[in-house]
Amino acid sequence: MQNRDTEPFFREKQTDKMVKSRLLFITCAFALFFFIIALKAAEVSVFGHDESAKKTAHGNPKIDRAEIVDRNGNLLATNLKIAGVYANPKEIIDVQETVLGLTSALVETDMKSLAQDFKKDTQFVWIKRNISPKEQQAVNDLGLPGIYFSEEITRVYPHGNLLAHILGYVNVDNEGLAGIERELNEALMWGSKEPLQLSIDVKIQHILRDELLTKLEEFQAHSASGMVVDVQTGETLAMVSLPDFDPNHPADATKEQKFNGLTLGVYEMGSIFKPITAAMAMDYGVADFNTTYDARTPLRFARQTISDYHGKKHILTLPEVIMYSSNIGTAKMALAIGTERQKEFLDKIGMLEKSEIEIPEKTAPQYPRKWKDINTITISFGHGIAVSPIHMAKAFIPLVNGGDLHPVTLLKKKDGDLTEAKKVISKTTSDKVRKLLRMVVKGGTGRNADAKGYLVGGKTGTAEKLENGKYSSTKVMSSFIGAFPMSEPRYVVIAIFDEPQQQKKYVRPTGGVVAAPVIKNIVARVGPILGIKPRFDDEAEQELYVNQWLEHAPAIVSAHN
Amino acid sequence: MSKTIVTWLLFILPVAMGLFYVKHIVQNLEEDLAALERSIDVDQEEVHVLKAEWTYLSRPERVKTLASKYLDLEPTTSRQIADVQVIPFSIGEGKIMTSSVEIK
Repeated sequence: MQNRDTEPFFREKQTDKMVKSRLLFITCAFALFFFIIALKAAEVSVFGHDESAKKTAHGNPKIDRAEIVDRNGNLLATNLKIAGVYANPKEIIDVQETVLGLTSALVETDMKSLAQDFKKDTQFVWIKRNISPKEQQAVNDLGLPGIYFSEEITRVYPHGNLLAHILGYVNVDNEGLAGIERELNEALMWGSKEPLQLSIDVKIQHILRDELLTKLEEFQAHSASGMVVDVQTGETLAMVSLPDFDPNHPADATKEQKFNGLTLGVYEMGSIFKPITAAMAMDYGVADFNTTYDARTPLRFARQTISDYHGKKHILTLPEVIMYSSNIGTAKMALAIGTERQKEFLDKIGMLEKSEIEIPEKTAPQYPRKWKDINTITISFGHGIAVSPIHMAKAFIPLVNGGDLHPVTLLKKKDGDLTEAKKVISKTTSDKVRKLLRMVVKGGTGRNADAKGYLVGGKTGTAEKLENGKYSSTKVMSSFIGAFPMSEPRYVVIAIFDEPQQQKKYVRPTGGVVAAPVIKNIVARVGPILGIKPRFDDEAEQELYVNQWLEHAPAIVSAHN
Repeated sequence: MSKTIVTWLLFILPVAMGLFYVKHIVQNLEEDLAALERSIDVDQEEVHVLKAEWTYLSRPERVKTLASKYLDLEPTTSRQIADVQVIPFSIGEGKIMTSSVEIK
């Protein structure tokens, strides 16, 4: 019995101990459990917000190509979401109805090929890419099953043809294939998303294109190109090559349209080269305004005969050589300079290398590998060397601005930007060239370029083209290169026409007839926009010595050019 | 022992409640922010499209055509540009204009 009494007691004690330990175990387990939950709760509430925070962080991860704007901030190239329409043939219920509906809603769709596409065993068929909002609405209104829209970011050029050769174009993946788009592709794609600002002025670009196009059509020329460059900075304000194309639809463009004559075309420039020779001669000190050249008889050299087109059969002073565009006079000038120095000078003004302009479409000039004296003679008046129009424009910058050669650029210079100008001729020489160029317009072959009040100066060129190894008298390059206002030049302007056709009897399509009036119109329209104050006083002309020289000049300028 | 636990509980509870309350507010604000930014994106997209459209409609070529059709105006010629001093202002009104402003 005793056992009976003690047993339960003992048992109780044991049970008590067991219960206690179990209780402790369970308590610990629960405590741990809740501790973990608390920890997790704390983590979620304190740190767990990262993901939603990321969503609200600014910016949409669109791969947007940087926009391009002109010098005044006008949009030149941008990206737009453009809809495309596609079909899932498996979901189409009535093929005929769908085809009929789509052809009525979409412009230029082919019924047959569409019907064939819809019978294919596939789940995706493009119906049309790049549809207009109107078309999208029309298709949407049809409410056809199995027809869907996609949205693609597409490069858009609102100005169409206007800047085709400057901007270039992109492929379906928005990668640049030509022009600035290609040259600066990396920067536009991955660089700053700030718009790229060009030095181009859309208004001036339009005027240049407008005038070139009018003349191109009037004279049925093959092609034409032109450029307006700031002589203080080398910034290009306008640059046109015709024919051109719509960069929104580059696939439709022909080879001729895509060809940038201004930078890719190398031509024997002819007489517009003469001011360069004159500048060279004066800068090397082998000639001055009073130097005379006997142009009475053709110059014979190494079995070649150099004669004059505007033959005056006179002894000409240097200004007269340029005014009447005498080949003989220029040739003699070049002989005085010498072959080595001519080559050195042309190299110095960038005539023997590719242009540095920011587009990939450009060619190196062509010149004789063995530069003989006969080459020196022909090169002096622009034959035997082929350069692109942009080379000419660049070379004329130091000729008129006091002697500083600027790299020609398409990008706008910021206020603080230093221009890497290179002094190539002295200020005195440049001052004399300004006077020469003004004289050509005032009393020489370039009179058609005289935009009243803007003191245009320049030089005409009519270069006969090589045809089967012979110079053709009917196929010519007619050009004019000049600057304005000559009292204090601000801009160089060039216009070149390839093979203008003779329109009137006895009027050859020369530089003076075709290109000079274009320059006149361009300057007259552009002058007010550029804020150039017109001058009608005789003072300016006096400064340029023009009148004085014209008085001296024998009255031999024929009126027909 | 139990006293410290009670003190701790009394301390932790309001802090935890406060934390959750703040978190709740922040979450709401962030949702508002996200909605606002979405609408900003949409607006920006629209402005962008409108800008492109404006450029297209105001391109010089079109303006020229419209101007020649609807306006009786011609481009300024160089003869129409002069200094302010050259213009003979009327003296009768008691004020004589002696402007030295140069119009370029």
